[in-house]
Amino acid sequence: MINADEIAGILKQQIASFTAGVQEDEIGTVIEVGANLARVYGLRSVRASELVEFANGVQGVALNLEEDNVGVVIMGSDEGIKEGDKVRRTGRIASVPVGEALLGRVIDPLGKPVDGKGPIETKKFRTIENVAPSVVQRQQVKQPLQTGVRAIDALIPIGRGQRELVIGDRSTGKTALVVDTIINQKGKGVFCIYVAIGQKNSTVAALAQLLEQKGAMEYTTIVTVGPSEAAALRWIAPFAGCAMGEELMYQHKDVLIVYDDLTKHAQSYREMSLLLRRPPGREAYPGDIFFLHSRLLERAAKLSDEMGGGSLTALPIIETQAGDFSAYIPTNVISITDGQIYLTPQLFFQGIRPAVDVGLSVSRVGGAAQIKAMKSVAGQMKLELARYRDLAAFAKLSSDLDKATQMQLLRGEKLTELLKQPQYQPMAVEDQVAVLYGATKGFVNDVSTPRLQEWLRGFVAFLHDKHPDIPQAISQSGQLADETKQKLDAALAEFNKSF
Amino acid sequence: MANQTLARRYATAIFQLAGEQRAVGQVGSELRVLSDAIQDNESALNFFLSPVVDREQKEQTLVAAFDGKAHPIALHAMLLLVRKRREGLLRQIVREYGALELAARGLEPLTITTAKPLEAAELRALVAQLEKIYGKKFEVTQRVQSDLIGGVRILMGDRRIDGSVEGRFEELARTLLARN
Repeated sequence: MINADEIAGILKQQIASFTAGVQEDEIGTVIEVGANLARVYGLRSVRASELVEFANGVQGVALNLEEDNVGVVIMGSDEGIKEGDKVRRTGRIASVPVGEALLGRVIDPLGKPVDGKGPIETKKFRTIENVAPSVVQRQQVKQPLQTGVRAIDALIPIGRGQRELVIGDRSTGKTALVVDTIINQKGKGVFCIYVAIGQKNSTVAALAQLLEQKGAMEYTTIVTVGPSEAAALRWIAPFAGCAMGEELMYQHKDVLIVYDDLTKHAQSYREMSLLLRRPPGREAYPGDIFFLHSRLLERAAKLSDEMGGGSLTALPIIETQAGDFSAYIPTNVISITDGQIYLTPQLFFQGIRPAVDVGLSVSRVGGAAQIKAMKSVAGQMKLELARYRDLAAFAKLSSDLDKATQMQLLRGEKLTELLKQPQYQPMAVEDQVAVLYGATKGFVNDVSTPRLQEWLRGFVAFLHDKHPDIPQAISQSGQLADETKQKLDAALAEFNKSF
Repeated sequence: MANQTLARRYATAIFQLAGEQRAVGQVGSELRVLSDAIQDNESALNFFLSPVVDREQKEQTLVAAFDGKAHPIALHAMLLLVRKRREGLLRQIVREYGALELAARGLEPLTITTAKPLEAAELRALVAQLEKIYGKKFEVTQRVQSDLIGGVRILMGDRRIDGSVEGRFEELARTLLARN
């Protein structure tokens, strides 16, 4: 918004200081421009990744420093930049506004608001590329990040400061899973940053609206760059989002950042690199594509107590083609992250949603962060599900099964059913513990599978209505004490009688 | 881009050869005159640049016109360009050669642009001051550009020192737009 007073103020200041010396800068000349890329002659002392400014005010990043020219990616439209234009060094590297003023806003990767809610009031800036916290500045992941999704919190737990990859084919519920996670952070003191890389603007608008409705926007920032914008903007978007998250992390806060998705990010970087004539490697990606993602994800951390104990949890998303997890980018990111959540279309179309493949998904560090109560029920469940998977494959071939096998299959079926969860209905961890405890103890064996979701909803409502002390005890102590177990057994029996 | 690298290679070769024969200045000025002459005359330019014209014919014409008049290095350089089909590089070679000449003399190019022509004494004082600040010697080119309105703009390699009114306006425009 242009403010007349402000302009007058600036003019006054400029006029007053008019004689105050000269401006010195280093310039180059555009010799070639196209495809959001400019070759610049001159700028001999420009540094790699430095911001430069074109005559029309558009900024660019000096990426290729060659013998007699500089390859600059233009962050914006290349219209209005022509051969012979002067390009100015700025001496800075790209930085974005940071701070709590960004919460509740939808912004582009340069920090400009795109939600029409006016300018962002923050004076703090942070460079988009930063060195990741060092070994001594970190500590082990030890606090859980509750996603509210039973299948994740029980079997593939995520800790604060972890990097957990969400991977799967298109429309298998990757975004839905992370959005549920964001919604579930309400009231948990976790700030969220959702970086939409090359997502349709309509999708992002719908998401912002949804988060608003769920009351999740107040602790969330959406960084978005559409498919029609310059590849350079898609390239810097996750780094910009990460810088915003880091700022909060260093202020001792817990932050969750979602990169949706890094496949498109890699493609944008490939586009830029090829246009800059960098040599193509596997799948035509440039040689430093691994470093690009590893340095981004390495910035996720759980800081040591001396550093304030803040954390930055990263949930990168990778989209695979026809379930090909062994393609270049998926394998890269799998090897960088601390585990992955596989979503498969087969499960999705069988109606198992979230379509998490429990057998293939792992969380390498999250187990340490799980609360004791959940750990005790999840351990049992993992075993039962593993046995169920083995038997289910085998049972398809044979007709008569012994009693024990049948029982095992039945339990597996019930557990799988209980892990189904509708979208936008995250569940508190204490409720998850109570329900899964009931399932592993055989309280659902007599409930028919189609009615299990009903049983689940009914039991949670019953628990909060009649025995609110049980969930309270679990959430406060984080443990499933013997006394609580007895109460829970009684409550389950009582509810089953009326169900 | 690639052409510039090429031009620098040719220019370096010619410059070194001229240096060995102590004819740096002569070769340079002759190449400059040749380049300008070809550039200024449309038919000469067409003849020289056209790929349709036979290379031998070009060579013969060049020899007939300049043999004995131009320094052998300058003439041979032209002939080599024709033989290698690099005639189009001549202007860039001359430019690169000029840069090498300046560097060899320990000079840096300096362009001073003002709204009105500077008095000789003013110019001397300005250059002397700049030489003192930067500890360099300059080869000065003076330009007059009324758009500047007032003040002076100095271009020293990639470095621009802008003390002009126009520059202040540009700066003001940038500040105002950045606020938005």
